[in-house]
Amino acid sequence: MTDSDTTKIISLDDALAGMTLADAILDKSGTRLIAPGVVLNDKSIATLRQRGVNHICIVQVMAEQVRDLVRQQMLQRLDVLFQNSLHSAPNQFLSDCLRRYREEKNDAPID
Amino acid sequence: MPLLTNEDVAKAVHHLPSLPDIVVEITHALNNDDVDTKILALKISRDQALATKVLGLANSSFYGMQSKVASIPQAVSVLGFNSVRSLVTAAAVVQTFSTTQSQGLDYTEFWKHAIATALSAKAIAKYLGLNQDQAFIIGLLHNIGRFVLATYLSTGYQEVLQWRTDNHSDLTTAELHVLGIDHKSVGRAVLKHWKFPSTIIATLITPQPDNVHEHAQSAALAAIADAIAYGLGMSAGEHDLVPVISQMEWDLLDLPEAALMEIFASTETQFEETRLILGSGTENS
Repeated sequence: MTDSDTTKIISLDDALAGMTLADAILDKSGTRLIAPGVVLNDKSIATLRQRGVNHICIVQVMAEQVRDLVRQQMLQRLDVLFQNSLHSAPNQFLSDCLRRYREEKNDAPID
Repeated sequence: MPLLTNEDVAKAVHHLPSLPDIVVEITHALNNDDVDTKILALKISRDQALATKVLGLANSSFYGMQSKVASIPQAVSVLGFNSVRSLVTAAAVVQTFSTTQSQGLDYTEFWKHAIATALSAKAIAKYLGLNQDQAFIIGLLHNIGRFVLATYLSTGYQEVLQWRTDNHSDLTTAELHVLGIDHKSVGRAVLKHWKFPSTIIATLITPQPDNVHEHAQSAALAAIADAIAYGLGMSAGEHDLVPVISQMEWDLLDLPEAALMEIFASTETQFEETRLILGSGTENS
């Protein structure tokens, strides 16, 4: 975390892999579950959900960085979804179109 | 796990919950010119839960109407009887099965995917100038056999899911390997039992070079809508994979990139609203 970064409390439902925790997360008994500065991943988000955590405090990064993060995750998800079918030309075409669709949507101005 | 036989499928289908009587009536009305749609509209109105969902869809971005539709008879007059029939069928199928539970299949994911496929199929039909209402139903029901396999037929559907995970395969391959039957065969038996028209049942027959059947284009539409729904990640299932689309299926629709972009956007835009209106079993996230 740098001096220019701010923090923000968000619902765990809005947490994304790649976000950085600003504060430690404690369970009801005060035991520390995750230390500040840790970068969340899908597994740690799922674990927090199981432990009944509803909100977390994250390091708020610039909009551009969030955009890059979201873009990266969407494209990675496409890689996973198409992992068994890219040998088929129609699937390759569909995958290429979905990538362009995601990138265009992600690059659209934020309202 | 012993492989399933056609007899097992036939027995299970007879134990399925019945669809509401009104759905049976309006399905029968399909090929009957003497049907009084005004009487049917009144009958639909008497099923309040169904009527609420139908009006919800009629007034949603699903149709993008300028003025509000306040009653089923008005919906019939504004949208046409075929559209209302399609909405009633969709609402009834989801309503009938939304509270069903079993181990194995994730029902929230199942209905999310079914609705996304239905919306994608409708958008494809719009682009191609085909019947959008029928496409919506075809998309919604394309995996109904999977639902029946997991719920009424097989105590071993978890074995199917495990095999899929272990072998990084799609569900159809896993079904054939573990159960010896795939969801499309079961789906055809279900739709026959519910007396759906052959135009819809035949969409569950995968077109092959040596079997380009009369409804091959609709079957390809269902397959491509299915792939788009998975590709858009609408069901968000951990093990979701986009199924392989054959060149033949693709060529039957031959969708250009610009059309696909519109179909993606339309499916995503209407998804949440449609899911909430259609109801209970699909609303957990």
